[in-house]
Amino acid sequence: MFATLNPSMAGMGPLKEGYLSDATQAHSRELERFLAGVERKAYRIAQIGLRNEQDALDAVQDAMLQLVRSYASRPAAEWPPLFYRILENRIRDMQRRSTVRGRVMSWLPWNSEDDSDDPVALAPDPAPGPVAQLQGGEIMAALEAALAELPARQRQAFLLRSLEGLDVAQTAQAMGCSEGSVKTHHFRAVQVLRARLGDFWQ
Amino acid sequence: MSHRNNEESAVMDTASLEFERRVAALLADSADSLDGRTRSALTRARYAALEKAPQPSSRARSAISRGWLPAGAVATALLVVVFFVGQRPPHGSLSAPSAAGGVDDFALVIDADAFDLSNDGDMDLDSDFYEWAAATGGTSGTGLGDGNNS
Repeated sequence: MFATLNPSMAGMGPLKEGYLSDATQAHSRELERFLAGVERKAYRIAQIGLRNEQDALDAVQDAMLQLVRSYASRPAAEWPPLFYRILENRIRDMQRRSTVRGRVMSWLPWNSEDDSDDPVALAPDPAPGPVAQLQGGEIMAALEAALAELPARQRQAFLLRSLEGLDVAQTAQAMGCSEGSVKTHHFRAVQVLRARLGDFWQ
Repeated sequence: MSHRNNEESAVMDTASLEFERRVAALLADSADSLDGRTRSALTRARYAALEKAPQPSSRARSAISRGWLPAGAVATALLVVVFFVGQRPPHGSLSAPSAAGGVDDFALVIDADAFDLSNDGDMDLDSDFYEWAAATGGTSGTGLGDGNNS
């Protein structure tokens, strides 16, 4: 998919046609094409994991920045797992920060968003379940909800394999685990999603 | 453990593969049909990231800031000084004439000596003049502007 270029072109920047060599320009253009090719799927992965559009944009931009700064000189074939590993780390950091912020805010006595005593907030969610949502045409909402309820590792394995199309080895590198773990997480994710959404997909 | 091994080695059935294919297609469609505002934000993020890539010019600036360029200039200046000092003959010594033009150079040295000797003769003449001038100075005056030229 990606050509392997000379690693000695470390740190060359993007599209400075005036003084960069042809090989460096080609490497920069390839890096730009790679980012343009993955940015939308990366955004969707971050959005599903973070459930927040602005946080997802920030996570994708941070991942792009870190890839360009630290790994632009690497062969292009190494970019996909590196990029998604950076992105997953960023998503996990933002999830932790959000969790800590939520806990701190819940302890503050003047927190106006504390709705623990609000009977409306404590009432059962009247929204339909996944099957009803699918039948109502809200397919994507149900799918995102089901994905969001997956354990993080299962969600990562499923999205990287199914949405991004990484192979098992690349997914293992991106997740920082063994290929056997990737297969297990992916298999379980598919089974759980089928159990939740299967009525629609049969 | 055996249960996990069974799962790892399990091959998904056709229905699961078809389910995964449909879900993947749905997610891919949703990624391709992002709204314009989000696509624009992603494009700006990409350009911002690419602009942060290390540049050759910034490398040159960092070389200057790290002192490599001044150090190189000092080293070059030292080399130039050493070169010229090494080429300069010691004070008061004459260089040996070369094999090619040695005779001509030696002749020039002899001519220079002759010129110096003639200068010494001029100095002898000047001393005679000054002795004559001292002996006759009190009686003849300057000889200029006294109206006795005729």
